[in-house]
Amino acid sequence: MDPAKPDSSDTEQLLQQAHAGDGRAFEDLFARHRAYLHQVVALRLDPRIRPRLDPSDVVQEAQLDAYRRFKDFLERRPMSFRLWLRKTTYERLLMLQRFHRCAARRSVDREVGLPDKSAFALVQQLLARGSTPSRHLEQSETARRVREVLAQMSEVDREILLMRNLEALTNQEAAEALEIEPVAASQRYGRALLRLRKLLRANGLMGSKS
Amino acid sequence: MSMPPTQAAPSVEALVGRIADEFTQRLDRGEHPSIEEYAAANPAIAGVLREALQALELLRLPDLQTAITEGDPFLTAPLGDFRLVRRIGGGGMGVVYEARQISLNRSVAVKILPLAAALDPRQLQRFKKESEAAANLKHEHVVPVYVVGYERGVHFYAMQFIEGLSLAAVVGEMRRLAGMEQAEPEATAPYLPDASNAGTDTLPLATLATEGSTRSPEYFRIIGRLGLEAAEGLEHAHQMDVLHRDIKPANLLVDQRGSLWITDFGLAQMRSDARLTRTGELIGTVRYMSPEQALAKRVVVDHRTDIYSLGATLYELATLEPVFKGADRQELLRQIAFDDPTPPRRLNKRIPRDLETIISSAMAKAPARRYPSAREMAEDLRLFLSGQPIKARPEGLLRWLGRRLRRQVASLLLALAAFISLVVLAFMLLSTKQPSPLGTQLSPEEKEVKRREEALAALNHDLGLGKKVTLIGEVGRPAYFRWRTDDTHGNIAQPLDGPFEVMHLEYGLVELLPDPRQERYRFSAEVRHERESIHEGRVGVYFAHSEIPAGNTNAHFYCAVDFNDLIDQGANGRNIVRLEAQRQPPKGLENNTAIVEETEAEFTPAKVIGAPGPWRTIEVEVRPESITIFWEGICIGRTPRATLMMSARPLLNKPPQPLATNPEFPPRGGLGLFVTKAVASFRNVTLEPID
Repeated sequence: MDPAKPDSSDTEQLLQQAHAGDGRAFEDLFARHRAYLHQVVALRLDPRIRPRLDPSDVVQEAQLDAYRRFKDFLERRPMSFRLWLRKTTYERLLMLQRFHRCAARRSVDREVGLPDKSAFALVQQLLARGSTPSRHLEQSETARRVREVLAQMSEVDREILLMRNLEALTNQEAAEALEIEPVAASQRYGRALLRLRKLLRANGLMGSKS
Repeated sequence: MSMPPTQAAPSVEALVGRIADEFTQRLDRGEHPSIEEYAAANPAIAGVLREALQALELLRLPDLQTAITEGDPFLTAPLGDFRLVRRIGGGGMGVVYEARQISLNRSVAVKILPLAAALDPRQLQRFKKESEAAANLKHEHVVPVYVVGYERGVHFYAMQFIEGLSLAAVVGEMRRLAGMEQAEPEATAPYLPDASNAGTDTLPLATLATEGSTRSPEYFRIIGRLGLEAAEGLEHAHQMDVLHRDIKPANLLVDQRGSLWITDFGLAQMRSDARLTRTGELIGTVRYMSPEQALAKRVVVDHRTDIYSLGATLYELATLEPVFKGADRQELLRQIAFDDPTPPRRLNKRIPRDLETIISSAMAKAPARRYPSAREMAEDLRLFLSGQPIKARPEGLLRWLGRRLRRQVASLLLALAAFISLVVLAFMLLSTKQPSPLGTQLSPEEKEVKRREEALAALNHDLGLGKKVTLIGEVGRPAYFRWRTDDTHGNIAQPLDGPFEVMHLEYGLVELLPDPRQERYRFSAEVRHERESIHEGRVGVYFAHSEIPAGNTNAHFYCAVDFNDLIDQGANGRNIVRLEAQRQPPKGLENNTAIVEETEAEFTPAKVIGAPGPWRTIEVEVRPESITIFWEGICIGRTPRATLMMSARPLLNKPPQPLATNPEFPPRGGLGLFVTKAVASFRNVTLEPID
């Protein structure tokens, strides 16, 4: 499903069924978002703990979390269901990542590596959306270096860039997910881009004249 | 990082953000917005804007997606001096990549060690020492190691890139050609994952695979030559005091000229320490182990271990059957230690008698019966190749009979050993604590237990004298601590120079004192709710802990003062720090958890993003008549004991299982750190007697 859309009417209907006491609605609801959640995790999963932790594991545990909190969600409806699931999953990811990293005894710690892996779906989705007009560069080499630059950025900056460009969240959604005002989210996006530009330039990926 | 106050005029960031937002939306819709148009419309910031939007477009390079989402972390960025080109194989001991050494612009193979992460510093030290020694080996039949390195969190070494096959692949291919099933999936080559497409025109395979090959004398001459080269390589290493410890077909490579190379020197040490869960790998390793390796966990092995393993490798090449076929590790170990292998010539009559004798001599159960050195084994192989009589003699009948007798004693010992391991296993299964995969090293662990016991004794001594004690200092770990709840989902990080950190994916109590030894005390702590927590999680301290048997486990009763610094849970963006009496029922009855809120106060959560949040100070004054809580130095409430008892009572009326007795609120009782679905750091934790 396209993550840029707000909860669809189908989702809404299922939510209402769940609210009315339909126990199986949750399963359906979760199933609809599984691919997206997988992608959210895959984009962020520390490659060095991948041997221990698969995105599907994270999603599965997140499903349990979400199930436990589902009733509360239905009563309060603090945000769209999709964002709420995303948030639940993201929290679980952070914890699990931390856990496994600790388990690996710090050795994989410290350095930032951008998550390496595998959301095939995401790639295809992006390709399907039509790739951007970019110059014919040595693309893979450039991509590799951009990725390294991203890995150097602070998590705050990187997160908003990933959300807007890889997860295709809207500004409003990103703001909700980050629990900040939309204005702040857009400002954060701007700031992250300005920093990215600086780093790209420092890494010779962008013209050097100011 | 906290947000700077908004400026009166829109900042460049805000402006760029707003435009970038629109630009992104249009890209999402599939449009092709023009950077120049935006630059022209915003002349004041045209320069930065243009570049910011260019940066944005770079983020949408399809290849970037690939780079990020590609399965392999190492292919995208160089590892020190090496740019990894492609993955050419994986195995128990790590993944091998074809790589380019940037400085010397040469082709190399880089092996990345698995779970280097999981090794403790001592093991790493040993690995380094060993692999550096291995790097000093220079021999035409030893794969040269160029660099042993550590980069980006992984240990790796770079070695000459050998284009060819491993003997494991050769055996696999031979078996396939001979119409035998590929029975040993774990024995595939570390170098070329698929033997069948590796070019059957490469020399050794072509020669080996000619029709009727396993019958032809030529085949056994080739085996003899390969064995000779391996023995020569081993002899060189042994001269340099380097043992291989893991000679097996997968570690012997044959290049396109048909020359043999030994690889992975000094790495076996790592493997014997890694508690692998992947049985297949382990079996692959075990199969060629020497009897002395199989018999004892940490026996000191010498160069004759390598001689045995080379013999076992040649045995498999000659017969195309592994020496032993035990289905699992235990069975294999037993066979290696006590069983005689089927004589090779019984499996294949064409095997020359002398080659059989050489193999058997190399594989004698007792090291003293083997060739005393690889040089002597090489010598015999040379004699065999030149058609001269070899020096080793087939084992005599008498010796064989003698061994029979000894074997009966040995099987008794084995039965005993098996019984003991059964007891140990049963104990492990029954114990509710799951040993951490890293923590099973006994001696350091025992030392640690002893250390903690001593520390606790010292604490108790001081408390007995009415002194204030420090449970956790400014940095570092507590002198004494232990998990009070299931630690399967918990983790404790104890950096020497940083704060003590506890995480628990579900619900964790870490005890700092089993008993304050008085009824009037002040328990203080500084607590930081770390950001990588599940947002509804809570952190704090607990005290007055007691455990009551309930069913087949225990229910925990305690008071906790806890908070959440990450999100707003209260009204008006405020949050609650609270004192609560809790009953934590045994696992599996989670929904029975009940909380009684007794004292609470609002505070503004730090909602930390990026940087670590603030340290929060909690103080609890416990007296038999009341509990007083201080939050950030301010008294937020006093709860009379009677109230607490009253609120604790209803809890006890619905225990998960009927309880024999209801617990009294004990002013005393265990105390420590409280973490549920969260990560928290703790420092300056003290306990002092009060009036």
